[in-house]
Amino acid sequence: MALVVVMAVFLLMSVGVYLLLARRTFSTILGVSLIGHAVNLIVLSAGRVRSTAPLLQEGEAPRDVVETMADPMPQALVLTAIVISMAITLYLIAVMGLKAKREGIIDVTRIPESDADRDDEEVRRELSGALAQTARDGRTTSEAP
Amino acid sequence: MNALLAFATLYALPIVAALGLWLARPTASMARGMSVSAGAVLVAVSGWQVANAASGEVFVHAFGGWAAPFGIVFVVDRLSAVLVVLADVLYLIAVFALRPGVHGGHVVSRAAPLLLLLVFGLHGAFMTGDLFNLFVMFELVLIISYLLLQVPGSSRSLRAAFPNVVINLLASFLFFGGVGTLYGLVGSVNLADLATRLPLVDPSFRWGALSMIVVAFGTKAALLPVVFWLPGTYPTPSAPIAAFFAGIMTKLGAYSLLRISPLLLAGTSLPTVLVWVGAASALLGVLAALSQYELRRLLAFHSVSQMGYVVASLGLLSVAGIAGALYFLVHHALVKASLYLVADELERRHGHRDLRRMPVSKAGSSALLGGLFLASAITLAGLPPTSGFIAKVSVFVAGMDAGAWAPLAALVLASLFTLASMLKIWQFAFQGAGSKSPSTGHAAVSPSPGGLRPWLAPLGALVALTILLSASAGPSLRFARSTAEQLLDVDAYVTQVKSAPGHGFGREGVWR
Repeated sequence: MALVVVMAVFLLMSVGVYLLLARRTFSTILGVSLIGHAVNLIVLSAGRVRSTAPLLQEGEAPRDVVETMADPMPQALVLTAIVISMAITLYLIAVMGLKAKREGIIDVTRIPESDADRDDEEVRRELSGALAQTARDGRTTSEAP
Repeated sequence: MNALLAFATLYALPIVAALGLWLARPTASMARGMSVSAGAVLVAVSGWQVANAASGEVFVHAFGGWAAPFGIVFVVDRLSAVLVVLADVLYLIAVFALRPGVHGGHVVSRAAPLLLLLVFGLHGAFMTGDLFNLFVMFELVLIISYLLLQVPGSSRSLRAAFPNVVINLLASFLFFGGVGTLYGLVGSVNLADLATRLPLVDPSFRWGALSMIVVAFGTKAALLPVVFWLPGTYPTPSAPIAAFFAGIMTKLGAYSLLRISPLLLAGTSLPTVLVWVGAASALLGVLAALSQYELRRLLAFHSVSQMGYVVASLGLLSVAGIAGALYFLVHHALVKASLYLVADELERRHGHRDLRRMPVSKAGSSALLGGLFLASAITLAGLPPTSGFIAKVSVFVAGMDAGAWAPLAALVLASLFTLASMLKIWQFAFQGAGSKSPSTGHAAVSPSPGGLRPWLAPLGALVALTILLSASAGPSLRFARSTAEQLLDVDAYVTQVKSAPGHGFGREGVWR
């Protein structure tokens, strides 16, 4: 059983890193979430994955049951981590997806990172907070008056 | 007021106020007013908490009555109280500086609830005594900071947020993996419990799990090999938000390192690694800053350099080292926030972020702004009467005591370059070194009529606080020393946490 977990971690981690290195934003997001699941499995295995015994029994638990019992704590931790990573992944996909759809961007790292390559007017509007207004109205920045 | 009431206020008020702002949807100026009043209450309560913690009292709260190793405990000692008050002061100044008429109404009304949620996450992270709870708070802060980065709504903010969130998310996974491995080794995620049991674990396993956590915290603190989420991030959001980020976000990583160093890292080789990594980032961060022309990006690389000082100093694990790191941390948070407010005013005057496009003529009546910049700049560079000088000297003295000569040399060299890079900003923005090429941009705002200077009050308050920090150097350093002694006294911490009142089934100690 532990071997299956190790192989799953290996698989998720390698596919995740491969996707992370792709120059496409959506692949990067998927890669990050796969790596997150690999880590979740690692943590899950910290509570042992061989359990057959119930957590609580009537009276004093026999020694061999306590020895083979799975620890529920890492499962609770992993559950929290899954919820958190789901929220972040959803938000990333929502923002990147909307932006990409609106402006036809596949790789956000192609957007100029410095103002030297940008329109002076856009920079000025961004600094005065006017772009937030435009973005709220659902227009693209280039259409702004 | 008792400690429990103060703790409950600090814990609940930010999230209640954030929800109120979200649901009530007030106008931008009302949102600002509500944020400022919430910030004022938070500063008052956290100020009281510092005074309470200064007496040496450690407040421990076990949530739901579940005692230490089983439930989640919140621990407020001197270090936690100082960082909470630092976060609240910076928050108050940031929301005060964020004006609907200057930064845009939509920016203010969108950012106001998010900033409060960020304060909630920071409070939780600074006060928790549980490693997994710290992870949850880290994630909360990450999500909120990502949302805040999107507030300007430009393609550049999207570009900047992406590496930030991916790198920080990977660091969080590493942190989570480290916490899980520690749990697998000792069966606990409570810091006090970990501190007592970890020395019994095989050193190589311990080193592996702890190094994962240290790399994750180093990423948050923007240390050298894992810094690259930071420089692109700070130039994009509205500058008061960037000032809050720059003031407190890297401190979250530094705080976590300060917290775990005496508890978990003592007895391993990791603190020594931190000294070297800190010295390297101090030197290389400032060299990177020197080569930048974008004002806020230059300041962001400075944060890398200054956090290097903090981490190198705390890695010494001596009373002097940790005290120096704490004083340096508070000093840097205040001075960096004030430099970002100066940058905000300069950028909007010139309608550009680039130093080379800031002709001096447009800055016209900027003698006051120039003066406040100069005060902040010499404080950051560490010229004698300022808090920067005191902070650096206490770090250097700690380094000399420990005999760490090579890292010390790197730190001294880095402070020379810090001065040089401050002179660069001065030359370009106030002396007109770049004015030969005429600017095509227009000023984003015309100078306010009637000599009204909305930037003066928040900026003046921050500069006054740094001056206060240097004027009260004696008491401040004594406080930092007693904080360091409290941090290094692991046995007392463990006793205080474990004897906290709780009535869960862990009271009798099932595991012991």
